[in-house]
Amino acid sequence: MNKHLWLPAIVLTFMTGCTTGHKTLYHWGEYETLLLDMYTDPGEADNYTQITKINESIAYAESKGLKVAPGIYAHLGMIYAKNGDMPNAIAAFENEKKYYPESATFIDGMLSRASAK
Amino acid sequence: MTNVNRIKCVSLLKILIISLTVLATGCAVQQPYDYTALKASNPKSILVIPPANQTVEVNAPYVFLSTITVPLAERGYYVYPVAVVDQFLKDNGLPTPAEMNSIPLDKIDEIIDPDAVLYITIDDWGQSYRLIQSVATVSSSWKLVDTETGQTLWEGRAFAQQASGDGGAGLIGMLVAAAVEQVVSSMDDKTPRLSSLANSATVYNPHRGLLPGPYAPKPAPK
Repeated sequence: MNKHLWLPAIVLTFMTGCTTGHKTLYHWGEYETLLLDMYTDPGEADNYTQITKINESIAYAESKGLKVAPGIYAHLGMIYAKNGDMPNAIAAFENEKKYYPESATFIDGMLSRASAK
Repeated sequence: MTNVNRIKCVSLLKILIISLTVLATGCAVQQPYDYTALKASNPKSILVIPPANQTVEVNAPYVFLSTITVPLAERGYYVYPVAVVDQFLKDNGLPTPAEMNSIPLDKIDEIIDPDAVLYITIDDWGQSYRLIQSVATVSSSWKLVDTETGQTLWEGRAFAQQASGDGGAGLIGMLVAAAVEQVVSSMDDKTPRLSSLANSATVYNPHRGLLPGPYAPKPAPK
């Protein structure tokens, strides 16, 4: 089955295995793990856990002068909203918009629909 | 890096070179992708629609979804928050990825306004147990379209497979096992890590990958 497609996987594994201090554009914290747990093992990623871990990773990024990755503020906003904490939800969504203006239409729409309810 | 790791890396490098030779002689030359449409559209933001699932693994779309943001964003694109988008669509009467994949583009344009939309189909996913080993597979087809015009900008396919166990995997299987096993052996479900590897390999493929986006660092002038 398409054996040539194994090659990138091998090369990539090799690179991931051997490179240390790989420079990324963004600080991701545990975003991928939280997403995975949220869907496949929700007990490991309840609202409290997510809020704590995301805020820790944002604080870390700020302390090191790293960029918080796209989507993380908005994700935090969603979890605050699920928890019924609208002031913090709105603040987080506003941060997503501030750092990533591409998100404006989506976030403004969500916020206006939420406030209309 | 410790010396032990360095030695491991050197021997891995040897394996890699051997495998490159094996594979290079084994397969046809890969045609470079035609990037005309992608360059003309020049998208800055990508909306990933939760993948359509052709397999019986119900978690597959969401395992995939947890491993797609990092490679696309690190390639230089704004990626809409996948879980927020998924929740938003569910709240608006689209309970599963099947329905989410049928939203008209003009509606997406109006409500979310991404430059491009990435549609994914999960073709094969999960762990299968065979006589002397288990094999984990992730396989998906990707299509990036321009939100305004609906034109296809780029297509890709992500595939990775890992065989565990000692024998019977064949040369390539053993090479992959040797390379991948050390990364994922401690995990029960191997698909998240495999999916992450396959997605990065697809985005960064030197011949058929996604071109760097607007947030990617500019290459140094020669």
